[in-house]
Amino acid sequence: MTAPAARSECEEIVSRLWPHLDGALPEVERARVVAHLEKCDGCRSHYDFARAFLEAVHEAVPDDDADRVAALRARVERAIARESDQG
Amino acid sequence: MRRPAIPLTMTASSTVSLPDSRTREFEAVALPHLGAVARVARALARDEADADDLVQETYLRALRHWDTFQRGTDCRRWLSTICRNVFLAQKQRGQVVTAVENDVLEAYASADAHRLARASGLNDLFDRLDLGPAIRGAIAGLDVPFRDVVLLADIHDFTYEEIADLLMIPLGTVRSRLFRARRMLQLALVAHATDLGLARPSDRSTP
Repeated sequence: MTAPAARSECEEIVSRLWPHLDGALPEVERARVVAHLEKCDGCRSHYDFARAFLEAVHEAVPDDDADRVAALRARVERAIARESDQG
Repeated sequence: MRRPAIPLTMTASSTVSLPDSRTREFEAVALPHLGAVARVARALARDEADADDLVQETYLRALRHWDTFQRGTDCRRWLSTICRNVFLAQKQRGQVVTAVENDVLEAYASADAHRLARASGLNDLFDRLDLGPAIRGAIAGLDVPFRDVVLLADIHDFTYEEIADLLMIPLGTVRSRLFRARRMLQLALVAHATDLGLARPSDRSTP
């Protein structure tokens, strides 16, 4: 059974896992989370699960590929040329 | 620093004469950001065709208002804001979310799905299964305000601040929606794995 003080610390860390994974924590808080994760298997397990989830989501939905952006750029350039000609 | 005002509406009559040098400058400065604008559009629009139209309209509006862009400021951000405004103007979309939004409570609940997964023997859920189709389905099933923040943050790597800017919602609301959306996705994926028969009977001894 986790002691009350340790549980409270763990809850604080768990509540910062998403911002930590998103790179949104100030340096002082980030260092505190990292230090806690190194010594706490329970929180480390939550962190690993959350990180694996984010990686799976990122891989599941393909981002715009270069070819598609190039085709879109050509289309926008044609539209800009038309707009300029009309001017 | 205040960004230049972004026009919300535009009519054909406001088309202006465009000297070549002005157009060339616009192309040189604005077009390199097309990939980023396309990502914003993809996150906002329902499908690829709508997103492409949104990108084109964004650039045309930006070109017409190129004189209002403050040289030396963040052009990607300027274009992204125009893209957001064009989208909102076109769709007249509301931003109402009925669920209570509390980023602190959502953050504390962030490990709920993991506890459930662990109790079901699915601790390594994401290592064991190809969850791509299930993830795409779960994202598509999210209500639009939640889907928007997940796509922007987790697919297109926008920061909380950028998302708040784009969707015109407070930073706390971005966090609340994002954390809640992730929890909903995780729970949906645990349920998916359970439906596949991969879960073991719940082990209540697991904390």
